[in-house]
Amino acid sequence: MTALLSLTTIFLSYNQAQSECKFNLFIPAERGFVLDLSRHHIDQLSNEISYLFFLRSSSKSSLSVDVGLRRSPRSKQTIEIESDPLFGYLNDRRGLPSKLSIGLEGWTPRGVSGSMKVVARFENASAQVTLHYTAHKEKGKPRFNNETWDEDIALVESLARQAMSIAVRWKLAGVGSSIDAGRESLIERGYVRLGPWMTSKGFTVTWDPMKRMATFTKGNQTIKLAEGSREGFDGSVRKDHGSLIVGLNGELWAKTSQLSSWIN
Amino acid sequence: MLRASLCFFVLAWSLVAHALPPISARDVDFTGNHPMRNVDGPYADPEVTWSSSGTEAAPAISIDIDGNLSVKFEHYNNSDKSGTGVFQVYFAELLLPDSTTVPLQVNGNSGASASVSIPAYGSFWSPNFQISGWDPWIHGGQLRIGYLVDTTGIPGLVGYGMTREWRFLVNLEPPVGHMATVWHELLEETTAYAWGEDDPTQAGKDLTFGLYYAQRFAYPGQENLTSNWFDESNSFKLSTLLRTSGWVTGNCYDVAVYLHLLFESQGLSNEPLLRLCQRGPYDLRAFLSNDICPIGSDSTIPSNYNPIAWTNHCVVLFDGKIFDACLALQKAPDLSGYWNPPASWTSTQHWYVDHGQEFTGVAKRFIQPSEIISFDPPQFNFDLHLPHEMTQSEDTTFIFGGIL
Repeated sequence: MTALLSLTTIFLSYNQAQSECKFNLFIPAERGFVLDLSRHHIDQLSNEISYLFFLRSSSKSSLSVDVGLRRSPRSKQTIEIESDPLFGYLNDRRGLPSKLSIGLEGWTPRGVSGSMKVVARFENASAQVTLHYTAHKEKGKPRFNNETWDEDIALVESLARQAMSIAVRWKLAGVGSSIDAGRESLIERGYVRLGPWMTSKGFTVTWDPMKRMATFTKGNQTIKLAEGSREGFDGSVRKDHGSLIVGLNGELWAKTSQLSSWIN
Repeated sequence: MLRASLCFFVLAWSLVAHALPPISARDVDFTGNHPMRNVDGPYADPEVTWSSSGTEAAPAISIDIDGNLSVKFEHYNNSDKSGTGVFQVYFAELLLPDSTTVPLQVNGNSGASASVSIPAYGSFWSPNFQISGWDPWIHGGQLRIGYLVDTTGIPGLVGYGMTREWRFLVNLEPPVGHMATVWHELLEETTAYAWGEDDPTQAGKDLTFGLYYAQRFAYPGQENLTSNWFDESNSFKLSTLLRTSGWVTGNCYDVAVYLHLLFESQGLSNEPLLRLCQRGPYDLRAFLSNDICPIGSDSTIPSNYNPIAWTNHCVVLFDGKIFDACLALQKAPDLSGYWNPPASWTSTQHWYVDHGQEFTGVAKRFIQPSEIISFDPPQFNFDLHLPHEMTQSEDTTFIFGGIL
């Protein structure tokens, strides 16, 4: 006796063996982003990148956060394009709410658009945060659903600054290095904990968790310093303090040799 | 007739026996098909695998027009009866989206059979059966294969039969390059764009037009000059792109590399070509483009065509011709109305052709120093009355670091 059955092939995704992203970042649940992908990738040139990818169903937008270490040189054509005086955008900070740069070079959004992207580099370490909106059609053109731009750019800046700190830690202490290893490497390179150091100079501290910016106040002097930046505001004057401020385990670390000269 | 009889047997057997047959299906293995994956990872090979942890099944298989496809089936005999049976593939067909079917050949005939040794309490593979006869152009459908394990010669052992189905995609050539293990999502996309094509150039045109009109990428012009889908080691983030639904922003690099991958999925070897404008005033490469309608906008609306300041432009080079899905131009190289993306144009036709009062192509002229209001941020005041002039491109392959 013979049986005849009908079978429709069942779709079962086959997950390729890949390592997980080697960092974690916290995004408040109310922002609606749900983690969709977590990967770590090493390419043939030993460049390493870890990335997290989030989806937000409410506005059909996606968000990716990359932290990478480049071990191969940039191509000549890439350098030429990026350094073009008309379209190169080094160490820009206009599009960020804090108005302070991230890393030593990078790109920030120029204005409200269909996507926002922050690229921040510190030598061969990099952080990249990209948020994409989707669009609907109006008068023959796509109109992107970017009504939440202002709150999103604040989130993207926050993530980019945190990612820059992770990238610097990886550069100094190794990819995926622990908090303790990162702390040791910072101390070895002359970094100190910024909060206690400023407090010892008589400043009080407030912290903006979205801008990742600390505001130090003493008498008439206000100094603002942001994670992942080598710039700060001394009053209303933008200054360069010579090295990136690195966030580690909830604390800011800095080299203070140039910052000392800021203090009245 | 045979299938109707078999259905009767199934009903009769199920009403009488009230039990599963002792023979059960296990693995299925196609050979000759292309390695495939999707955004989540590689597809199972064998295409269906039964294991203690469950079933892994490839949701589709891919073959090219000239491909040699064969299939074999593994079953398990959960009884103490053994002997020689007959494994019969009694039909194979391709069900097309319009509900028509294309009968396929099995070993060159409508069906084929071969003897098979069936062990007691053990598994056994059928012989390989050659499947052929799909139409020689790009298309897709549902491959259906019906087979029987005839155990008439083994007293007491109940036979087994089944019809199996797979999504079946016929592409032009074996996928190449980054698509050597072809991504299912891209193959479905290119099958839709180039359905029915059997010529590489025409398929390339279809892919270019298909991507341009897909309402997938939108290039917002000067608002967005950095590439959105590359990571810091210059790898194209295909996984995250495919996970992001709907319209997304992309510049010419994003569009060209994606088009490059679409070509590769159909086996069309090509390269993303970076066209840098020669250096002009101020030792800059900045040039004013022709009036272009960027990808994402409706190319039938004249007001959507505007000039853009660029220093370079990325396209696809295939068979010595340019395929540019990033923009549409109003005029073809012969000055006829075009309103579509350039596809299979020569390098010169794509960049600039002087027709006296008029010109065609992407590049209108160098940007003049007097038009530059600011370097940082770049701001221009284009003098749209300035005449067109010949510039030349310095072309180089755009090398990217693979796909993620």
